[in-house]
Amino acid sequence: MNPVFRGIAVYIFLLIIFRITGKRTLSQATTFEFVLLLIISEVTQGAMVGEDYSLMNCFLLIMTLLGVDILFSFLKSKFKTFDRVTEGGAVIIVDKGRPLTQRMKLSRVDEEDVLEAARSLHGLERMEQIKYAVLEVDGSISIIPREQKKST
Amino acid sequence: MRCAHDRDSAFFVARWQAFFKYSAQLFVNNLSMALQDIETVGQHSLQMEDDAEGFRKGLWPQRIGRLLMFLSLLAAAGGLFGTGPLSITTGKAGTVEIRYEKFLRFENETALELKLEQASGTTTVIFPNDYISSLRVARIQPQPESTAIIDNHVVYTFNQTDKGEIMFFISPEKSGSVKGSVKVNDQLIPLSHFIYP
Repeated sequence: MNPVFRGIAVYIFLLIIFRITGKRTLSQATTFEFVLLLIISEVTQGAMVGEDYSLMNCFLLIMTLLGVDILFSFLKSKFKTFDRVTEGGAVIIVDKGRPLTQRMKLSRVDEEDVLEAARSLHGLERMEQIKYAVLEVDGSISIIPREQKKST
Repeated sequence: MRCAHDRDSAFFVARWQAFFKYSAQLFVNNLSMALQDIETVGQHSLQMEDDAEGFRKGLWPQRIGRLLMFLSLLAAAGGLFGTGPLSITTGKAGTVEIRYEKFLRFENETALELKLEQASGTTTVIFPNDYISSLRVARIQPQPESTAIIDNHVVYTFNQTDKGEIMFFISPEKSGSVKGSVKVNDQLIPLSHFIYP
């Protein structure tokens, strides 16, 4: 198959598969997930390159992948719906110290993940100290701590 | 001994049934959860749009996508995408039997196995040229005595003094449906493949 079509097919397949599996997939980058990511990239490379190790094939594939990425970025900036469909949006998962359990469960986040992010980002100890926790588009968790009452 | 074997089989079947029942239950629970309304967030001070509605709408396609992925994996394990029991096909004509894969993948080498149940001195294996050009023959085991192109067909001739097997290792060169036939000593067997890109 033509390398351009191979590149486009791989790009679209990866986009769909990561959209299906959810934004939390491979977002934490534990050692195991890092290894998994390497294996996926190796498998993808094999299918894209095939038996053609020529320099031209390499150039064509890089240009195809970056070209499709630029095109998708353009479409995302032009059409909000396209952006939402392909990437999704940020979702609040803790509201004023209250974990929104259903949202968390559906996005495969548990309280432990939120507390871990709160500890590592802001040194927070408990859920009540969190004002908002947001599951970002890239699958990371942002923490906004409650404002501390100033001691008089 | 047979009784113990039957008991083991029944045990495995029961285990698999339980696994599928549990998976189906898990999926239904997950889907019904995706259908429920999710918590709403009141006024907040964040300069961002809480995409709760988009998130809720996206849950359905996501669940269906995951189900399709799971089913594809099961089908792939069975051989629907090549290399498995669903893919292996046999054809027979007289004393010749052929065993091959119906589902192939582009440039993925596979074997076309001819079983000859009777010695015939010389065996000729004939493929139409169209068929053989779609599936490049990488190796033949044993090596043919001669190869010729006659009347748009590729003719392989083997010396055969006993019953045995001839293996054609083929590597698909194009994707899509490929139909052809093999003629072994005047016995014609139709062949059909689907090649995934």
